[in-house]
This record gives sequence, C-alpha cells and structure tokens, in this order.
Amino acid sequence: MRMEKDDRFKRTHPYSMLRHIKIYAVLLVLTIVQQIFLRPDELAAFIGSLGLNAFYVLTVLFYFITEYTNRVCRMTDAGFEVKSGIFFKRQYIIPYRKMCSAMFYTNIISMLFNAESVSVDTAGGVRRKYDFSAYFSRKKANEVRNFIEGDKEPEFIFRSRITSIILMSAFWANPVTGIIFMVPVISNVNRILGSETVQMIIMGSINQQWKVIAMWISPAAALLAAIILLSWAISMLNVFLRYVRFKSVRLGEYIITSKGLLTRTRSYTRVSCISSVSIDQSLFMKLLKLKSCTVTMISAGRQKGDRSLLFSADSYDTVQNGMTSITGIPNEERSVVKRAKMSLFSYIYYPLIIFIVLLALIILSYRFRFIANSMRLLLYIFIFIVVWWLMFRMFAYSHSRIAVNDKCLIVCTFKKMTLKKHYIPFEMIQYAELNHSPFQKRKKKCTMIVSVYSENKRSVKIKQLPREAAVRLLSSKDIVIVEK
Amino acid sequence: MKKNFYKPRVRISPAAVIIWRIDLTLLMIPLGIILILIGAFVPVLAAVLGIVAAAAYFFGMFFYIPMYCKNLIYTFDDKYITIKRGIIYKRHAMIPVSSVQYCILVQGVLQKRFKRCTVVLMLAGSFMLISQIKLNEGRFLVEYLTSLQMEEEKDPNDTDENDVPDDTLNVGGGGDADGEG
Repeated sequence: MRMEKDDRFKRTHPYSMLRHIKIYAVLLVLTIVQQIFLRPDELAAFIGSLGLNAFYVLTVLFYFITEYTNRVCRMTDAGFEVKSGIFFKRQYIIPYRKMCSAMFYTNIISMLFNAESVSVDTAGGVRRKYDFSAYFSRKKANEVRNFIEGDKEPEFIFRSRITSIILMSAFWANPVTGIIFMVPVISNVNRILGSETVQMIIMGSINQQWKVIAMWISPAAALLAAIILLSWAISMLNVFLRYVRFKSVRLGEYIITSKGLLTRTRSYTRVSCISSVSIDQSLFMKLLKLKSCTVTMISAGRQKGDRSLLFSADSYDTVQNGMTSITGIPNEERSVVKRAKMSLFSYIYYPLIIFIVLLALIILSYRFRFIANSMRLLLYIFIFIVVWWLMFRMFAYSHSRIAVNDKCLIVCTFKKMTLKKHYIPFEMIQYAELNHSPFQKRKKKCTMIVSVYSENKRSVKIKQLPREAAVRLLSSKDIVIVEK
Repeated sequence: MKKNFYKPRVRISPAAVIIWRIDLTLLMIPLGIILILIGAFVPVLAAVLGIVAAAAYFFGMFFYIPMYCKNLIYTFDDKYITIKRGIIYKRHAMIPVSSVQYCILVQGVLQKRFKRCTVVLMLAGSFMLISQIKLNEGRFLVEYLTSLQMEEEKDPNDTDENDVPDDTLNVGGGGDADGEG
C-alpha cells in the first residue's frame, strides 16, 4: 500500500468550508452586500444598526475561509499527512498501519458540489470524532478509495434483500424522528391556511380513514395514534433510504460496506481491528427465521444512525456462514456452558412484575367505571408489549450460554429486546469479571462481564452462569479473570 | 530497534515558564471583565472574587508555574516514553512506544514566537501531552515515532540488527535558532 508523495490532495474541496457556514449567515452577508450597493452613503449607519450580528457573521466567514486556506492534506509514503489551524497550527501524520477504518460519505448537496467526505479513524484519542476528516472532489476521493483497495479481488460479497431492509427499517424507525419532520410542516400549514382549516382537514381525514378501526376509540387517542403512525412512516422511509442497497464485501484485509440511496456511505473496516462480531435476533426475527450481524470496533457507529451493520436480516445459514467468510472468525461452538438451571425467574423478574401490575389495573378499570375507554385501551397496548417482553426473556433464557472455539469466546446473551451472540477474539478480551450476589454465591452462580478492547469500555454481560464451569472455561483459554 | 536518541532525558525549556506566565496573564483579562460586570451589581462579591483571583494569579506566576516546569521531565528510550510531573503528588507515566497511534505537533502563537511546540501522543483511548519542548525536538520526536511505525509497517518481523543505520536521531541536543540547548 504505497503512494508517491504528490500535491494532488494539497487542498480539500471548498465544500468543506461551505458546510460549516450556516445558511442564515450567508443570507445576512447577502443583505449587507445588497445594502452596500444600494445605499453606499448610509453604510456606516447600516453597519452600526446591524451591530454585533454582522460582526459575528463576518468573523465566522473569515474564520472558515482562513481555516480552509490553511488546511493541507496529503497522502504520503508515511501516511495521511494533515496540516491545519489558524492560530494553533496542528501537524500530524496518520500511518496507514494504524488506520482502523475509513469512511466515504456523500449526500445530495455534496453531490451537487461534486464533493465527497473522506474520514479516517484510528484507535487513538478520546473524542468520538474521526482522526482525519475532509471533503475532497469525488475524483480525488475515488483515488483514495483505489489506493486503499489496491488491485485485490473481492473474496466474498453479500447483497441485502430489499424485503429485509424494509423490515429492518420498520423496526428501527423511531416515531420521534418523524415528528421532527412533521412539526414544521404542520406549523407552516397551520400559519398559511389557518388553524381551523387544518383542524378540519386532520379531523376529517381521521374520521374517514379511521372510522371503522376507531369505532370504540376516543378522538384524542385516534389523533395521537394517527400522528405516531405518520411519524413512524416518515422515519421508516428515512431509515430505508439510508440502508437500501446494502452490500458487504471482503477485500484483502478490509471489509467494505456500502449503503444508501440519497446518502451514499462506503466504509472500510480493517479486519484485525474488529473487537467483536455479534449475530442478532429479535423475537420477531425468530418467527421469520432471520438473523442479522453487526460489528464492534474502535470507530464503529460514529456516524449518526450508524448501527455498524455487517449483514442485514437474512436466513440463518447465510448470516452464520457469511460471518465466518467475511471476518475469518469460525462460528463453531465448543465446551458450551449454559446458564444455570432453575434460573428462569431472574430472567423474567421485571416483565413478570409489570405484567401482574398491569393485569391488576385492567381488572380495576372494569370495577371503576370512571376510567375512560382510551385509558383502558392504553393498558391493553401496554400489556401486549409486556407479554411480548416476557416471551422474549424466556427465549433469551433458553439460548443464554458461553462457549469457545480456536479463535474466540462466544457469549450468547440479550440486550434490550435482542438476543445477541457475540464472537469476541481472544486478543480483544481485556478481562472477564465474575460477580455474584449473596443468593448467587449460595447457589454457585455468577454474572459474567467481558470487557472488550473498544471505546467507552464496552462490555458484554451474561447472567446466571454456573460459576465453576465458567471459571474452568475461561481458564482453559488463559483469559484474565477478575473475581468479586 | 533501529535508532537511538542521542540525549534521552529532556527537561522543558525555560521559555515554557514565560509562555505559561503570559497565558495566565491573558486569562486574567476576561476574568477581569467578568469581575467588573459583577462589580456593577454586587461590588462586595466582585471585591472578594478579585482578591481570590489576584492571590491565585500570584501563586501561579511565582510558585506553581516555575515549580511545575522544574518537576516536568520527559525521558525517551527505545521502548518507552516516560513523563514525570507533579509538585506535591508526583505522577509517573510510562507509555510504550508501540501503543502510540500517531502524534500531533501543535504550535500556538506564543510557542511560534519562542520556537516551542507541544507534541500530543494519541494513544488507544486516551492521549498524552509533551508540552513546551523545543520545536526541533518536537519535530525529531514526531519523525522518530513515525519512522518506527513505518518500519513496523514494512516488515513487522524484521529485527535484523544489521539494518541499523549509523545516523542517530538527536532529540535533546543540537540547540535551535535562538541558541538554546
């Protein structure tokens, strides 16, 4: 991986300067220029009237233009060389060997300017930011890409199915994101058409569309449900556009993932920097016989909405075998230690208590007639969610275990509502902590926390393991054990 | 290991005291403005805060900064970069050279005037500062660490001592344009 020193990358793309400058700042400057040409005799009075705002905008402009002109980026024999700063000059070289990941990102606006963001990250530093990030022209970004890829041929290619992306978008969609989009639209429509007209439109549409479904639902609950549903749909579309055309490729020492339609992201992950690989399955995915795969490493998840996906939801065999092919981590399990028997209660403790409380509330709601139908409906929705939670915990209980193979420790546990099977390479394990409560001590059980080489002290936790068997398994692979 | 430092033990230069004293004095300007603003409404509070700030200023100027500089020692060898610092509580950090991901050479306005710099060692999950060393020393240190990484990149298993070049990387010695060192 060598490249002769040249000046082709000396300057970054001017878009890197533009992205910093907010639109209101530009508009304000335009107004100033307009006024200068229209009324040059009143310039002093005009600037005085603008006061600090104009000064602030000009300072921002001056700062980013100067920063742009002072920023020099090069690819040299030693690595990515960067010189930047106006008052505080910074100069550094990121050696290619220390590079953990590289990311290329472009969206519609940067496409219009023919610019593409190139970000490089190492294990160094404490900030959750890339070590080097700059906008280049797409041609130059392509040259960087070609330089990283070299002349190797892809060893493994995975293309996601469109149906799996739709399903994942549906589950990952957050209605709050949709509301953020909706609020300004509703607000502006409200202002233009008048509040009464808007209310009439919304209520009218709800009455027509939800007439049958919402026969026993109060208008307030129906309106709330409609807003949440619409927000969720917008959010789903947003996630879908971000993950559609998902592809993973193994190319030499890198795993390349690319995704997105309107925003294109292409990331290069060095295989030796992977801290752990996790095969995920929710209860719904279990019903559809699907699994997905994510990766944990130093620079993963920096970008907004990035879930470090390696495989989108697909059949068991595709994901299991694909994970081995793309990362080189074997998926076979040896010396399996399952969670201790008779420990189901500790897995279902919280959902069971909430279920009992909700059940009691529903029974009471029929006893006390003043409780509104909408409130009762909410209780039914909650109890459905809790039953789902209870079922998931039972599912997690039946699958929780640890195992080893030649290269990694396998920890099958759950996080939130997802069953995760972590494959942690031995060299990435910092230590394993075994904790036990007084009850666990009496029954010779423990909770294991495996600290992984990663940012923010990432760890994997599994409950109710038989203590002796766990210690024996970890000791057989010389994993440092911290007992408490 | 291919190269050795000519002078491994490096104290920060006397100019560091001047730079930090100027920095502290500059810090007092916004503090003074804030105190004036507070004084317009609560004069007594401003006076108390002013006395505390003045005491802290003189403590920093004539005791803390000189003592801190006196006790700040950097040592470099083939395997470790050692930083000793602290006045009452001594701190001793040993950083394996292999754990340095990359290093940043930073130069502020005053440091530029006094030909000094700060080298930031970016480690896995943290960073370490080597403050107020001479510019040529900083450059040599950065070059040295980068060259080590490049050699590792070329052939990580190559430990043939016959490849050792005769030139040494002079970090501590040599002096700079202003005649120090």
